[in-house]
Amino acid sequence: MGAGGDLRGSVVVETLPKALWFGLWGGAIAFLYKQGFSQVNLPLLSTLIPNLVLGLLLVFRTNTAYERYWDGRKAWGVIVSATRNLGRTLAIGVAAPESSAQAAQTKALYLLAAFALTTKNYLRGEPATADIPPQFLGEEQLDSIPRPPLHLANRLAAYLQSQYRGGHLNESQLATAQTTLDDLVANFTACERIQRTPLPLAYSIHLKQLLLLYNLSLPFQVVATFLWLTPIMVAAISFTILGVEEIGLQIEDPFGRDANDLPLDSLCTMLVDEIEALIRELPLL
Amino acid sequence: MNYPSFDLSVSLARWWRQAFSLRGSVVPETLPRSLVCGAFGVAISALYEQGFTQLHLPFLGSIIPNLVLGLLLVFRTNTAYDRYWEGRKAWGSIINAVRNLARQIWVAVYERESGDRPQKEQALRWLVVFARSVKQYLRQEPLDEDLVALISQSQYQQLQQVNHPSLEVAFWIGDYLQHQYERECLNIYQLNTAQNLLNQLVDNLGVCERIKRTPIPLAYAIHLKQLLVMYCFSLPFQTVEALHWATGPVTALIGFTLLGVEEIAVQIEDPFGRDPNDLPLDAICQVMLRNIEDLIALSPPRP
Repeated sequence: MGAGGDLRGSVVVETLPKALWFGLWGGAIAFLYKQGFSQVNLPLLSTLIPNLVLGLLLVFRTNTAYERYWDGRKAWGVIVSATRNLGRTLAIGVAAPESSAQAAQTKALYLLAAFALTTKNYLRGEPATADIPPQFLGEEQLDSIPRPPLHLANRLAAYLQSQYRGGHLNESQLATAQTTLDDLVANFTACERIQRTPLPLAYSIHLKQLLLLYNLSLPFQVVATFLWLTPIMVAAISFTILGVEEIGLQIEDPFGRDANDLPLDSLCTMLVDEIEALIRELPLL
Repeated sequence: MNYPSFDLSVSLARWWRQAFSLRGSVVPETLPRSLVCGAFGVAISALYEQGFTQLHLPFLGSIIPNLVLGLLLVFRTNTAYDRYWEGRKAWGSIINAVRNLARQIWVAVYERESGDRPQKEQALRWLVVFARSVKQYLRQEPLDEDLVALISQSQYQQLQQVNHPSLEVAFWIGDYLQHQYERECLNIYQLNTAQNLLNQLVDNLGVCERIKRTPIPLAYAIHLKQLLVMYCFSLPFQTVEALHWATGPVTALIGFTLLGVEEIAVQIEDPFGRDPNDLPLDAICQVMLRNIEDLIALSPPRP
């Protein structure tokens, strides 16, 4: 089967149970109708919620969610490129002839990689140091710090400044490096914004209410046409529209571990490999 | 399937709970209005049952084209959301600039004398004062008294006298940076980046002001309300023949759905207040202060 039959990452798992409840409701109405309660046939209920309003609200909700997903991806794109650029500057721009200076340089490179790793952990609500090899953090204690990436950015800035004061980095290089660091922090903040600000409650709650009303009123509109097929039709229709809502819910916060979330683990592994390769090359530079 | 079943039931329960939750929802505002519509529907159906069959006027359905009403309504809600999200982005950008500027001041400004350290700490706290005064300004509230913990009494009084406290604080910060440059504690590049970040702060203050000061044009908001009222009140005449006594409840439900969509817009178009649907500005400012304190606690950069 192709993508059409794929359950992993699809909204079927979440949507089907709800759709089945509405199907059951449709069955109950069909039963009443068959028993002779013909007043349950109320085709006028289709005006309850203008299709246009519901449709546009629903689609808008999904598109906003996608916009957030894409914003999150772009923010991570910048984190990746800023980490690479700053890594290169740290490795090549800083003149570190003595071995003690080289140790500090290695430490700074590790902290740089840890920025991305702690950002990932922070966005997932996991402990700051989860899955981070100890050499990346050195003697940094992150457990009691509310936003570990910011702390690491401060450390890196202090390192850059000390290299500048020590004459190992010129002022123009310092300015570029600090700007790259600004980019890292800016995109950490962007991810935080996406994660911390879901769609306004008024919007998401009223949309759910509209969906509920729409689905509950469906059987009354179609029972005279479909008779015993009513439950199936109702379940199918509610499956489609609840599915569209579910997409929005799934991609709204893209930093988790679901099949629909961004592949942060592989992005971070890639960055870690690159930084480690840089560190191995340091003595040769 | 990789999904554990308990996860699924949790997420389903959350869905249902949210569908019926009141906090942050538009139900409290919308329900009374839709009940008025429902009462009108009941009145019409009562008259109809009394024999006033001329109340059945299906032609009223063409008063307002559904398409026009639907598009206007959804457009109104989406515009309001755009303002909400733009306000959030502006605040994100303020947070950002504060973080970066604080780091740069802390790390880059060279401490030559013993008095330099407290002055630097003061500059960092000014950043928080800036954000807090923007928040108060957007809420049209006076400066909050807790600010005294962050600035001196005389500075506080000065802020109370000026027209726009945020701009005054931005001026102080700019002045501090310039002074540090003149006494060669900051190089020209660093001064430049820092001033740019300061500009970013003021720019985003401007964005928030624009959102706050320019509501959706009254002509639009009022005419939409008029259309909604006409639509809801014309409904019973169209449906009374088919629905009889159900006219009231159905009218109330339709009123609820449509007025609710409008109410979303009303709730989110000014996102700087204190409603459950507004931006969590108090929390944002709190976090900002904690970040600054964390920075100050960080061991000072070695000279």
